Amino acid sequence: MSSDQPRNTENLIAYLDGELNDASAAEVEQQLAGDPSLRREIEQLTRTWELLDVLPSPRASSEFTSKTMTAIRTTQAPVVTGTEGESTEVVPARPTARVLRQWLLRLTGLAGLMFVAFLAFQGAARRERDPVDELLTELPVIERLDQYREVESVEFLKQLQTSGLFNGQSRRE
Amino acid sequence: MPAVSPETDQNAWLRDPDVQRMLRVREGDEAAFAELVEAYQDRVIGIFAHMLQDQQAAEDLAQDVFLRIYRARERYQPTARFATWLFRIANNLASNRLRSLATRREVNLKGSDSGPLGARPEEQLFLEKSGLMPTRQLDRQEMQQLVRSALETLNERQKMALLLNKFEHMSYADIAAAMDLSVQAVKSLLTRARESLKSRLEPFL
Repeated sequence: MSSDQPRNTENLIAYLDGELNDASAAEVEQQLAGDPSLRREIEQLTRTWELLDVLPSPRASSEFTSKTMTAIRTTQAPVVTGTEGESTEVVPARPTARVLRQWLLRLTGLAGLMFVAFLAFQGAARRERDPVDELLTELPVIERLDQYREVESVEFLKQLQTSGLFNGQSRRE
Repeated sequence: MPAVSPETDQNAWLRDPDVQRMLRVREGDEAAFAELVEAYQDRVIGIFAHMLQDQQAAEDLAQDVFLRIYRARERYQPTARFATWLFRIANNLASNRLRSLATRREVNLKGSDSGPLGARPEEQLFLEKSGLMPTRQLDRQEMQQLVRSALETLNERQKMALLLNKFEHMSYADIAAAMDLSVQAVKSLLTRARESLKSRLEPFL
């Protein structure tokens, strides 16, 4: 192969990386065999590549995994969508507080139901009382109702009673 | 310098043990996710540390990668090797981070001050090799600084492609999938990156 042929650095690097098919790789090898300057170039490319191995290999800190897993568990909380493409995480109320609140609501509802039932029972019981019994109970008042209307007050009645005006003397002669 | 063989079998990724782990994570297996974190943390942090030149920032960003993977677990549908998917997410996050740092980061390679080895350490080393100063064998720390400086001259995409190729041994096809590029684009990126490294490091070979 002639050294006048234009070198294809791209193919050289792909050849070094094992990315050429068999036919293209064979062509590069033929060029290398006939061109010392091409062989020098590929040697420099190889040595430059190997120089990258002097770079340090950064490693994760010892607590990286545990910190990451802690962050993961935090993300399992309900997510509130914020601005587009972002999300804000909120921590849910503690389960015990939520359960207590639910039980409180249930008890309040139950108490309300019981109170309503009590009122309904009282009303029903009142409606079921015999009206004749009520009249019989109030009969003495009913018979003297006109007289009671003439009395100004109970205190006046007491004064009349204690005055002795009506003790065995019903008429004057 | 053999590369990982590109997937020719469309279902080859199903044989990927990490894909199987991720499918277990999808079903709620938290321990499987811890295994994935353990398996990939050094690799992800390593890539980010070379990209960001900051170990703590690399760890923070790596944690973001794993959080995103975990949040996406219920929608996970394997269509590639797990590493390819993971590094695609890593590449996106690195791009976003570098973009946000671009206005604040100072490029010191040509500056007259700053740097742990004093003013313009790369230029000092170049002068030594040129014969203007006594030549000497570079020690490992100096070589690290030299290579690191040469790496910093690459743009973000060249650097990511080179790091994935070199340290993750990813094929051109896998790098293309991770970086959302064509295989030819990856080939071009790697060619320019390695030519650039060669030209800067050749005096020290």
